[in-house]
Amino acid sequence: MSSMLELAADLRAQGYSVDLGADVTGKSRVRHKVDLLAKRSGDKTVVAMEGRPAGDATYGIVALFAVAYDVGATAYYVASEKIAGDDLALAKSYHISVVEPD
Amino acid sequence: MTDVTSTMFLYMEDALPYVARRLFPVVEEGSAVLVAGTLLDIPRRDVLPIVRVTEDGTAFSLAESGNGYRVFSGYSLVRRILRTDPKDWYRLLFAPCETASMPMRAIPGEGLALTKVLEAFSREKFGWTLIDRAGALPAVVGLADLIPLYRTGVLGTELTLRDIATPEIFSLPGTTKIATALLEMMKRRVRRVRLSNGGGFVSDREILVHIFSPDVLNAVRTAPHQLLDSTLEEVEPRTAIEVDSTTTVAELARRFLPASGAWSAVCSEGLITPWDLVMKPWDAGQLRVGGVSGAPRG
Repeated sequence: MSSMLELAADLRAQGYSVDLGADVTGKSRVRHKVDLLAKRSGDKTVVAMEGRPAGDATYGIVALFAVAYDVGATAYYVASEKIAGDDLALAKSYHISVVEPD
Repeated sequence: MTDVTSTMFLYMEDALPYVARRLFPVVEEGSAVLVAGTLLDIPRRDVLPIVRVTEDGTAFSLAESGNGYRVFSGYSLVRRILRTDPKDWYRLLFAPCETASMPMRAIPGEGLALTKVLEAFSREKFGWTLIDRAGALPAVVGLADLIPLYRTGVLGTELTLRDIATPEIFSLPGTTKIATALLEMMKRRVRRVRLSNGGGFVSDREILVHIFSPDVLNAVRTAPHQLLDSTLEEVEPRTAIEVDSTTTVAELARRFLPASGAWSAVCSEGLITPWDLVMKPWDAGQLRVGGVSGAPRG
């Protein structure tokens, strides 16, 4: 099972309703495309994006931050490969959780 | 170190062979201003060319005016912010980065003389330019690429810092709001302001880093009009290197830190910026390029 599907299953187990591949509109009224959108009554929305290739992870993390910021959501960056320490630090500074392959 | 002055270094491909080959960061059309503005500083870059990605490949985005390529720079971003009504600043963060871009022509790359790069800098008044490459996206070359050429002797000048320093340093109190400071900086076409209480220098780029920081963005989410409400002293001012005015330009160039976008120096005669190290000798006809005195102009 892919890391994104595992995250979806985990969130469903916690009572979230989960959509894979969804649009979400933020405070800016811009519609953002996300790979996972999860909602649970009384809790912050969760958004997740598939990681970009390692060399492009910075862009992916910043783009995810922008969406999470606009939506007011908790964010997960689901990487398909290990990402560099600098990018992990960047994600941490944005309070983005990184899911990396084992 | 032995100087390697030779007329062969008159050409970009000889003096800076890696520039034509290196990969450089770009930003995709449609990316949010918030994304492009943040990427400008991870690590710090002069400019992010905007590209269009299609099934046929990646191409530079062309300016609507037909006046070159679209690029996203600190200058174009600050200009767009200042031209936007403060109540719309939040929405601007999520507008496509093209809305905060500027057009820039590329100079032909084949057989490109270094002097043509200097002419482009002098003409455009930016410390960077685009160079067309056959079969590839244009390259970006900036002052940070050229300044190290003093070290190898490819660039040379007899000038000292007293010849190139800017005597009147633009200063403002540290309590000045960054909105006011940016307006003044744009009007005067300066990129740095000295805090008049001796608190160091703040550049337009430090201001951008500050307003794109998570703390400021969190405040802006509920109060968009406060985007530029911080004061200069809240924007991490940087200390300039103190140098003697009799130091040669080449000597100071050796102490230039390309990775520091905030680099500047002060002497008793005034302020010295990366622009001053290269472009003031060039504009004065006092820059040797590739060992050739009185480099060809025009």
